[in-house]
Amino acid sequence: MTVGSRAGGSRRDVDDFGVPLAPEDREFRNEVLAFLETELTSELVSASRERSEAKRVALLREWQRRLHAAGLAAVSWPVVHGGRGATVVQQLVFNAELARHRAPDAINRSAVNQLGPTIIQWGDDTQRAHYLPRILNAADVWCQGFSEPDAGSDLASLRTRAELVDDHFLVNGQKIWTSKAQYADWIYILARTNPDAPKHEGISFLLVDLRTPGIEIRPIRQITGTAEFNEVFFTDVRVPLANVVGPVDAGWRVANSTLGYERVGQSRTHRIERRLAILLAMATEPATDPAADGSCPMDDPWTLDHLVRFAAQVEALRQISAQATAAGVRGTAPGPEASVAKLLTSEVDQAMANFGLEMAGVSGTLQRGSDGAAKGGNVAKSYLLMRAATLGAGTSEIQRNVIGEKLLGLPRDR
Amino acid sequence: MTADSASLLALADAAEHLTAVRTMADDVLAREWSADRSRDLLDAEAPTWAVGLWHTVAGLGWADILLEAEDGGGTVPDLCVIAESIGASTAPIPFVPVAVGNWCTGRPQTEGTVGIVPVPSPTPATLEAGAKVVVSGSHGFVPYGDVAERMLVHARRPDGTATLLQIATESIGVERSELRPLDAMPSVSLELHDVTASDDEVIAFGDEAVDRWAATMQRLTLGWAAELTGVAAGANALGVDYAKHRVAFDRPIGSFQAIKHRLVDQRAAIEVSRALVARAAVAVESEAADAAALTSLAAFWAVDSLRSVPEGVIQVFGGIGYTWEHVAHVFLRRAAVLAALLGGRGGHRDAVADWLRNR
Repeated sequence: MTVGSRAGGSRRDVDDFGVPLAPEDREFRNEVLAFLETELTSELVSASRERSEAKRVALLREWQRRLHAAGLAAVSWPVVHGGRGATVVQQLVFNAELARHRAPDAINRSAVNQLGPTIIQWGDDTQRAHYLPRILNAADVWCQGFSEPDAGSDLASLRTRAELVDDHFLVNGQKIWTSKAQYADWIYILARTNPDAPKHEGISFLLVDLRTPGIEIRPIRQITGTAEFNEVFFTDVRVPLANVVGPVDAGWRVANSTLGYERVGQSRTHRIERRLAILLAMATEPATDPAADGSCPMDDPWTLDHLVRFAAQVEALRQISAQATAAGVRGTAPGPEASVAKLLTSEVDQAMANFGLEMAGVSGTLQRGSDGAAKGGNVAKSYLLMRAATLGAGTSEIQRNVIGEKLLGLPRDR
Repeated sequence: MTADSASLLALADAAEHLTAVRTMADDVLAREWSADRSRDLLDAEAPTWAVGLWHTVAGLGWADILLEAEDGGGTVPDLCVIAESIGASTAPIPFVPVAVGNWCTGRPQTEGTVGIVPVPSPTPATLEAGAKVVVSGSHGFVPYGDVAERMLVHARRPDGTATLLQIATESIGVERSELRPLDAMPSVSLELHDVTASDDEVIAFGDEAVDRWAATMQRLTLGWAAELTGVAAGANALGVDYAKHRVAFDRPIGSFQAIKHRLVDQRAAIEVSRALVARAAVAVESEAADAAALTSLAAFWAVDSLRSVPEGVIQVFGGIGYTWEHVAHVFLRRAAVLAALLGGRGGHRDAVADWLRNR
């Protein structure tokens, strides 16, 4: 199974998905391919790199609308809620084909993956009827407000308060690391509704219209120089009681079902496969330095040692992903290997970006627009971006704690 | 779900089958062996091994796992799962070399014997009149060569022609010197002085010998890598158990992140190894084009990341892990020997590099 050639889309073997395909899976793939052929324009392919935010958002909304029009906006959701009820294999095929065709992430991708399933599981009929279609067609763009300045890894220590006054909550507090808040229409948040209850109780899951008075959004400039995240401040923001999802004070449980929701069959290895392919391409290019002897970085045993170590981890993660898919199809619990996949993926992704910088030498440090910038400045940019790989969605330290406690059965930290 | 891929179900079936094989092997080994017994054997005057256990598991058919059988026989993934169980138990038995040797010769195990073990490097050969093959050469380390009745020899004439031979260790011209490796594996250095092979000792000749030897070495390498994976897993499990119960500073030491995270990272390295071995085993069994590269990838990872697991476990144990009485050093010793048997990282790295360049 190749990596380098696959990224370019030259192979269409069933093995590309890590699993063999049945006739109905091929039929589904043909439908997806036909959709991509007509609807995924080159403008949409490069949408994520569009520098004008207004234009980028418009393009990504349009992409979501097209997916929805074809019935492909939420393939894993049940049909009754506007999804496709796709099998695990079909979800895998769908994700793999979109990745292979370099489709951008639809604007409500995270809402489709997290919020939608939460509303399906915990919401009432009115909430389902109102919110689910508007997630699918991107009528509302959603962002997530969980993290706070003093509640990151230790999320349950969050302090944003929601005080029930008659039929409204009065929300006060601050959220941070909120991506998309600068253009989103709605935010789903966790807020403390019972300050006297133990830490994990007394939290509620609320849906908040971002146009409500009392909300202020300030961008956070990241180490890359751009601002993709925001702080969101709430001052006496009135939220109707009808906007709580699940029981009041049960938000931790509700949110955990969201955090725990992972699309079965989603291959998480596309990104690291692509990064390995880029590293290998860099490693096999002869040095352009006039003093160079025509050798390439891969000729150096020390460099090769690193590349083979990365390849081992990437190939192992592909195998682990296929095994998890097989278990998902059978309906059995994934093996212990699945619980180390997130940690390993983050770590190897970051390590490859670090090594890319080292291998590229001075040209790796050059940013977009500089003469001779390695990979058009992407080596430098990835180096900065990949700091987040071991921070987002649970730091690697938290991942290790969870694996240590849940998989190995080691005692909790105090 | 409306429909499932039949072939994906087959993949899930394979996983369930291998879980059953693993459970069977673990049960036998838990009943018949312990790391304490491995440690006690280290005290013996001469290198020694688990003779009784070997005859027990050979009687269960383990030595013939790769041979064709009426029920279809076992596969390379089965070999690897059993090898991993043996590694975790630290049982000193020649399962990997003998099962692979039997596969190469196609001859089932003779009851009450150790059997045939491969000599891992090629031996210079001459062809005499009457088509007899005469081999001469030396080999530094033949695992279980001290107790095997026969040895699998890959002979090469100066013109490159290959022959695969099985040579009785009692043959004229075979000189074996007992070695004392760290884990007391009963091994020898080997000198072959003009050893003449009779016709019935020739297994394969020419291209057939080259191909069969390559396939044999893939199985041997993968089997050792799987056994090393088991040694690392057994050691890590021991460390995890200790970290749950050992109290220092009024807390179980496993609650300290320095200990916990070390054990987690080691477990992650073990899971990577399992995945690589599993993938390569399927490729070797099906004679896939990338079988050799995937085998080298698994071997590279095992050498790179698994020998150090028992080292880290001894660090978790602290001083008690440095004592002869404690079993931690059994794992350390076995891992060091198995990693060395996998060969240097350079060869595997280069094999993987060719594969990476050409895809």
